[in-house]
Amino acid sequence: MKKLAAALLFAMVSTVTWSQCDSVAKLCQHNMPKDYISDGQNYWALLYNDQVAEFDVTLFGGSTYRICACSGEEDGNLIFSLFDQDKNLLFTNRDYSNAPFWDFVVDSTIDCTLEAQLDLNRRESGCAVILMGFKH
Amino acid sequence: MKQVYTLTRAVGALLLTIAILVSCVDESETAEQNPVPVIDPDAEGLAGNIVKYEGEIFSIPSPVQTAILIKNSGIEYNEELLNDVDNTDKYINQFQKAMNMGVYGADLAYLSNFNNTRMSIDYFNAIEELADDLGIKNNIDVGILIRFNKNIEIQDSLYSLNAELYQEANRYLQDNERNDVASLILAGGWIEALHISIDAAYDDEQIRTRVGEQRSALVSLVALLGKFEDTQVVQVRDGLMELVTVYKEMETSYTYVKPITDADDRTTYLNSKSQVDILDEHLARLKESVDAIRNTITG
Repeated sequence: MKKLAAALLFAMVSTVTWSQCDSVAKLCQHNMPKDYISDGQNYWALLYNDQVAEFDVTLFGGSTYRICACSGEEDGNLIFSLFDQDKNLLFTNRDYSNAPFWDFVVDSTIDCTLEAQLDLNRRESGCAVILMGFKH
Repeated sequence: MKQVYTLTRAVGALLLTIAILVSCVDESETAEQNPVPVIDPDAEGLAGNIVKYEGEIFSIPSPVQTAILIKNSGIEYNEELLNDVDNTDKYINQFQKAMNMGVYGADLAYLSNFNNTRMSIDYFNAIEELADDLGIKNNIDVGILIRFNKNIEIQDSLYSLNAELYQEANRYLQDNERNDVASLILAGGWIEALHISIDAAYDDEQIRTRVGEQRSALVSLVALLGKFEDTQVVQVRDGLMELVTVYKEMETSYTYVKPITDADDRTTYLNSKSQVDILDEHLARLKESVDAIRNTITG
């Protein structure tokens, strides 16, 4: 009985969570204008409290990138920060009211780390979605 | 205190929540006979919905971006670089189908540069066929497929639709915890884009530099494929490790320059400078290794 309940709960929670990510990703897409070409990937993470999702990304010189950051249905729930390979902070949307998207004009190719975390004043857990697009 | 997110921790927390919920199903039984199970948040082996293993998320550069760089260079079309669409029927297992779905996506991006409608249709059909075999096609927004057919002669639309198609496939696969297939598609696309770039790198300095700038992506890819036990994937990963050796020999430099932000335009100008020196010898060795890897994939 207990095992069955566990299996059912796991299936239910998993489904709710994964579909939540999918919904957030679709909403997030609205901040990506058509002149930006998607990099073809979706960066999703389930975050709790002060956890930070991070991944390495190369921003190629001569391109302009748009990074969209979403969690939940309202803008501004996700804080994202961009660091260079020496851990210098290049940008954080925390300085701009958690702006849900930002553009980056890249002069010379940079290997970066992108970090995303929930704004705990607005949300304590949820699916974090980052989308990236580029144009030349 | 800031914690770096790991997949296992997140799933661990999820399981902990479930464990607490389960404990409420039969409180008397639980309380008397079994304490709430303690879930090790660092436990491994739990699948997630992100293209990542060992708690990392991977970003692999888009083949479309490489294709656009090649277009801007004015490099002439070389059909011999492409994987023949007639090979599609040869691909019988998941490794072959997924990897070559990525390969054909990169080929289609390259073809988009040269307004070759007939071949673009052939490559799009090959992608559709493999996507169908992998159980992806029916879960991709039909609108994208329709727009693809309608706009196959419009270069800019083709780039965007190609990217959208692969993003949709990626989303579906992640949503259904088929990260292994998503990873193979990404890997196939990256390898094919590198194969095409290396050929063009002999004639164009910008493309040569771009080839040299793939080190970080390569390291991500090696990690991404690190969990596979399939013989063919291991063979590809071993080949990628040879590329890592070559990349380590390239001289690189990086100088931080403070970015400038225009808050009104929501734009930041990243002004740091980087350089990579990629010699002919490096290119030759990369080409040799990539050709070998590609043979494993395309057959």
